[in-house]
Amino acid sequence: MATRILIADDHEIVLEGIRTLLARSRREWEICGEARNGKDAVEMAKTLKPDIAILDVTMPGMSGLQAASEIVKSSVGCKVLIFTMHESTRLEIEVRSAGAQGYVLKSQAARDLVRAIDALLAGGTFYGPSAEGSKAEKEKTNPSARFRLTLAFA
Amino acid sequence: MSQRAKARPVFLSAILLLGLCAVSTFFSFLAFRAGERLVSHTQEVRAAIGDLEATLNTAGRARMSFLLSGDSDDLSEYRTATAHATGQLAQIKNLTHDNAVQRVNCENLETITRNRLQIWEQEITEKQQGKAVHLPQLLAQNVEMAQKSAAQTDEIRRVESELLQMRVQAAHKRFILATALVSATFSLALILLYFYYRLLSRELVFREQAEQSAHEAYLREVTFRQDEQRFRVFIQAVKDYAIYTLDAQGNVVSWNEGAERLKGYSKSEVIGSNFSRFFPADDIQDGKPQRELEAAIREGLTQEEGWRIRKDGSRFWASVTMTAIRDNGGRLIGFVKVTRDFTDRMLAQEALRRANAELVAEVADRKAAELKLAKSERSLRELSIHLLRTQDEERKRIGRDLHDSLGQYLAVLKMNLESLDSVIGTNRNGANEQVALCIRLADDALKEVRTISYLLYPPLLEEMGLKSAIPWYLDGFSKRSNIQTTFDAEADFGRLPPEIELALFRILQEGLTNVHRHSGSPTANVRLFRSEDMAILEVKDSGKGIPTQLLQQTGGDWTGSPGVGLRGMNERVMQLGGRFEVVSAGGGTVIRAVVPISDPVANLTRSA
Repeated sequence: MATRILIADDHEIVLEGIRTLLARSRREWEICGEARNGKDAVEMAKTLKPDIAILDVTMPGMSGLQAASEIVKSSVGCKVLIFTMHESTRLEIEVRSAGAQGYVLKSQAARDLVRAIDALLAGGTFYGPSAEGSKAEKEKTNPSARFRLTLAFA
Repeated sequence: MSQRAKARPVFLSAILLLGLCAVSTFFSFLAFRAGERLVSHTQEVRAAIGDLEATLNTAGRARMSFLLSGDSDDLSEYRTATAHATGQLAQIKNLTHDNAVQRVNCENLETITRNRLQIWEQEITEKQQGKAVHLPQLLAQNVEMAQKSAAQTDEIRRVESELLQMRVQAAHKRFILATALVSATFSLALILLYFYYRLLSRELVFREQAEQSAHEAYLREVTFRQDEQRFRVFIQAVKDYAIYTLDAQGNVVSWNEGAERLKGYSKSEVIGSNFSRFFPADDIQDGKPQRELEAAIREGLTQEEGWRIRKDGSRFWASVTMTAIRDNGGRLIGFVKVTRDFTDRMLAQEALRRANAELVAEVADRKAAELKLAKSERSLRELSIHLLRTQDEERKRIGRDLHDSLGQYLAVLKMNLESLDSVIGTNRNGANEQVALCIRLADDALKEVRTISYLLYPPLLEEMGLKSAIPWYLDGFSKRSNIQTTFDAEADFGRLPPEIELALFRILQEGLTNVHRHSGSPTANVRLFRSEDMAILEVKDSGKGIPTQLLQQTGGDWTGSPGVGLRGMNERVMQLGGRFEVVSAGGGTVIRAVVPISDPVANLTRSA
């Protein structure tokens, strides 16, 4: 049985990139709908009943996080994965509080997206680099941690 | 006066009474003397009677002897005695003739005595004639006559005693009366004299008091005259003020030296003339001098300023005080006028007034200009605030755009490259390396975009606050600029309202940009702390400092600052009601932004 996937992003190129990536990764995955904003995403989630919704955070009108909490409420059984450019420490907290099961940074899409979808479909979660990423990578991307090291040596 | 009028009759009465007293004394003395005389008179009468009796006895005995003896000696003795008896009888008559009863008695006695003597003479004559003497008859006759005589003398004595008693009593009465009168008049005189003394002494007391007060008045008068003299000399000597007096009609009575100097008239030519001559002709026509007098009479004192004329015809601006002078009864005696030459002052005041008016106009102009300036300054400030806000928004937008659009493209590019990499499979003419390089480039570009966008609008600031955003920013700054940075923040600094955090972050960015561009400092030290209700951000470098003249140009509010950086920082702090400080010396520069934290939520966040 095909896995139905709803994708939402206000950038056409991102939608296209996701499409390409997913089509090449798993044959059984089917893009059942593409939304350009949060509101559409919520509606489409209701009507199309996808297995998983991949939502960008920054979208006009309703943000991806808001849409996530709506979808979680209105479309039971639909997993939600946040797919974002924003890399911040609060992200995970917000993702969790929105009810989404995971998030993937767009810069790490090729590496993480498929794994994240797999994890969610398997009933798990995927919270960004911290879920799978190496320790070194994390330190590299966290300047404040690095600064603290500098301070310690000073 | 009345005392004296009263004293005179009292004194005269007293003198009169004393005279009366003296007279009474005299009369009482007379009465006393009269009484004594009466006693002695009675004694005399008695003595005279005794003498007569003794003489008669002698004569009787001598007659008897003669009758018996016929001796001539006895006869001569008898003759002598009888001669005596006549004289004595006359004396008794003489002594008693003042009283009718006694006169009768005396005459009786005389008659009896004469009878006896006659009888005796007869007997003697008979004897001499030799006739016999019939003794018993003689004796009997003689005894009878002696008895008669004795009775008569006794009667005289008795009457005399009675008279004496009566007279002495009368004299005594008179004496007592006179004495009483003396006492009475004397007492009265004493009383009157006492009154007189009282009146006199009172008069003397009055006189003494009057003298005393007269003396005091005299002394006062002397002092007053001295004062007056001194005052007159003083007034006369005053040179800066014309002080002169007028009589009730306004004619000059006195004229001091100051008046002479001020008005030019000498004392001799002005005394007696009316004071209206000092007024300009039109004022005289207008009746101003008279009005001034009337005003002074009505008000007691008037003050005015106006033009007056000197002797030489020149005008001067006079300040005049005129006082009406009245005597104790309130009657107008004259006026005192004090005049000063205020021409210079008036001109100065006029000039001052004009200058003031000009100044006021100038001030008004300046105020208007200042208002305009303030307005334009305000609009400038508003503009700069607006600019800062716009800049912030612009940065935020650009940052977002970069992040959300270019970033997406790069992300997708990277994603696709990675897909390509897996599609290519292993090493076809080194394509893998090329793709990997592209992926790395895309990744670097992505990171760069993110860094730039975060610098334009740091997401950490919103998420984690200043305390986290600053080290993150400092880290990037150190890498880009090679300036060693340190950060020192309070452990429980907490969060601040977003606009304060953004402003402080922008100030930090601007400050560090200045350190990098201008100071030449190898280090920058950032401190973030709270002091009471203030949040303080401090950026300190060890560079060459801001040139002094540049600092001086900036003024208090940095509005004149040539550097947009400092001014912008100041603007941001001012907008939040804080203050911006710059301390710069050879050893480096410290900029300090002090911002009040009024938001209770921020404080709550901190304490939580």
